[in-house]
Amino acid sequence: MKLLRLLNVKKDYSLGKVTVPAIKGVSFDIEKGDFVSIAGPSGSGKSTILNMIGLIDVPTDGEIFLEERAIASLPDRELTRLRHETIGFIFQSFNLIPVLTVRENIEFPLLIGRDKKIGSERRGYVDRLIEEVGLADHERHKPNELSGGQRQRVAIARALVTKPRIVLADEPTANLDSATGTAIIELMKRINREMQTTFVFSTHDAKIVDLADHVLRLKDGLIVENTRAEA
Amino acid sequence: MLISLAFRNIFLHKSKTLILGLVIAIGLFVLVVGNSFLDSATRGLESTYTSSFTGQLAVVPDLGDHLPMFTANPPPTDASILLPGFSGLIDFVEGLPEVHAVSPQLDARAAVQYQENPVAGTLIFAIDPGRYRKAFPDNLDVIHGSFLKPGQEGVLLSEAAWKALKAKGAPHEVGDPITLSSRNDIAGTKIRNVTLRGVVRFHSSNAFLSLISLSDAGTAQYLTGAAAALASLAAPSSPGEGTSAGASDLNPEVAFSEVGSLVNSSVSHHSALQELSDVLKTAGSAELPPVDAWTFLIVGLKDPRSLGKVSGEISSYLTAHKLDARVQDWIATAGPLAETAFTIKTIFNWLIVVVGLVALLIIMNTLAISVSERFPEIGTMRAIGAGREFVRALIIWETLLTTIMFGLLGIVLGVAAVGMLGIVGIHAPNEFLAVILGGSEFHPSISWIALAESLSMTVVVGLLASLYPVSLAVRIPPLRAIQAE
Repeated sequence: MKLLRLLNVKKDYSLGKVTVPAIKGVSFDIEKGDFVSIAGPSGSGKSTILNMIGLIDVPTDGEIFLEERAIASLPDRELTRLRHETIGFIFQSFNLIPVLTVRENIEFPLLIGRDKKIGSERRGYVDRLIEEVGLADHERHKPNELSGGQRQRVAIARALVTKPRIVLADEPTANLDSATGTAIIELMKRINREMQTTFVFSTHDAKIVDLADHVLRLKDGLIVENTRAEA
Repeated sequence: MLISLAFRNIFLHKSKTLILGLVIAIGLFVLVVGNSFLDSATRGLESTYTSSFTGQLAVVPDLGDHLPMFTANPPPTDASILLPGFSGLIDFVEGLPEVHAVSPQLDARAAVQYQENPVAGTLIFAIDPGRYRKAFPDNLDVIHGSFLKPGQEGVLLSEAAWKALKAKGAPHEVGDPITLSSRNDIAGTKIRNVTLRGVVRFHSSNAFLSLISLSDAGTAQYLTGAAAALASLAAPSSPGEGTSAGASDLNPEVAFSEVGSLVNSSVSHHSALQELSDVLKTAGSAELPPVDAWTFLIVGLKDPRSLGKVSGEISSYLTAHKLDARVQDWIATAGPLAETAFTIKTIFNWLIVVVGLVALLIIMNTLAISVSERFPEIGTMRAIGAGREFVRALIIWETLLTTIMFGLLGIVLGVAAVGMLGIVGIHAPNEFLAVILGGSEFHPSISWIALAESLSMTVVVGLLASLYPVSLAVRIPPLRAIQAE
């Protein structure tokens, strides 16, 4: 099943009177359970594509289908609901809420949805995520008491707590040392396999690209490589 | 969770919270203290005046404006300052079930004289002794002599005037005759000998109120020329005639008014004045027939809440009987002394509005800066699924919690300050402030209305101050979460 489809998607940015084309027309599909890397040098359009897939930016032209549903013209309220229920985000700078503890940061997406209660089932799932990301001993810590790798683990758990169909990670290892970066990607890979959650992450680190089973390589706003690893 | 998050954000941004908090706390402190002072002062003033001088209402001649009881510039002394249809009016008002007491009054400004020289000034309230005591049973002490008896001629001199007489070696014992003089543009100069019946000291006093003496009706009516004016009204002049001889026959006041003019024109002629004075001593001591020449009909109510009803009924009576008179409240009767306090309160309230607006702008600006520094955080919330409603509620809660916390702090400090000052008391450093504060020793008390106003203002300012920051916050696109990187 195609989870995501991009059809001739373009994105222009206006810089004063000048229009800069960031994405010049890309088309690709992402299947359920994919572990996708969007690779390319800085300025190639990786983040722009992730933003559009994540429904936080809109294409100038073309169409994006999420679970066969065109999303380009959806109103803000519907996009917000879709983001909450369908998509998980992992940011390069972690973007944790500084006043909340590890557990509270992970629970936060549950509390802003339509069903704000955290029952025993949800609590159990949060416990499991905390275990999965290896932060059981740190759940009462605030983000400023954690290392970069630990913060990114919190972000991964937060991205997964609503059981999204797809998790988007924009350069999730950029602010981490090499070993920690690799460990984070391996954690994501393990979750991908165990939970069948689709991951799409951008990176310009060749070593990390190799861990993906679907690689989209960008250059100057165009896809120059779209390869899937053999099953 | 929302409130908890808002609460933690407030503590995370300590410096901005403190700036906001100080503005709010100081504002509320000033509001509570200021309003409590002013409310205490106005309550004190109202209590002082209504229970000692003005009653809750007064019926006065309609001169086109309020007629104050205490004024440096008395209105012209002619028939226009006398209440028309007095006997019917007082019967009607006394018959109203809500009315506790009525007391007619006529004011005269006079000088206490000794050997033809003024010794002290005094403001004479001519009264009906029985009615006056019923209306104001506990407003003064008679420190020498005894209170006037119904129908008795004489004066209860103010303590200040009596001391001045005593200091000059003038007759000042109870029963001694003393000389009062008065002058106005219409009646001319009036001089009258009157028996000193006692000395009074009002419980509530200041520079103005300590000048008040009480007299029988005839004395003030003579000094003001009011009785003569009434007599002239009772017997209108024929065309081409001057003051009616008939009126003169009816009432000795008319004759005295002519003598007054003589005194006025011959004031420097000592022998003539002495001769005149001898005549006056005899004439002025004579018993005068009672005359219904009054300016004020003071009305004391059983329950001040019936003020509107009684006022309306009296007004209807005046209209029905085509009487050229009006009803006024105690503030109008007290005149500039009380109005000054209310004017200051009004000015203070406007100042509070201005200060509130400035505080609102400061709070709004600080919150807007705080929101703009939190674009990535709010963008992240939006990206991971928080709707605009969540962001709006978060900012409003942060603002409300800040304003309520620090507002309450300001209120508590204000209450503590007023409580302490209420126990210790404040001494008015000058007579002006003594008038404003309702006495020389002022004990402010907490005004619950001021507290309620302060709390309401805290919430309103908080909500208004959050409008712009909220509008900023809800417009933050989720993309800002990524752009921050």
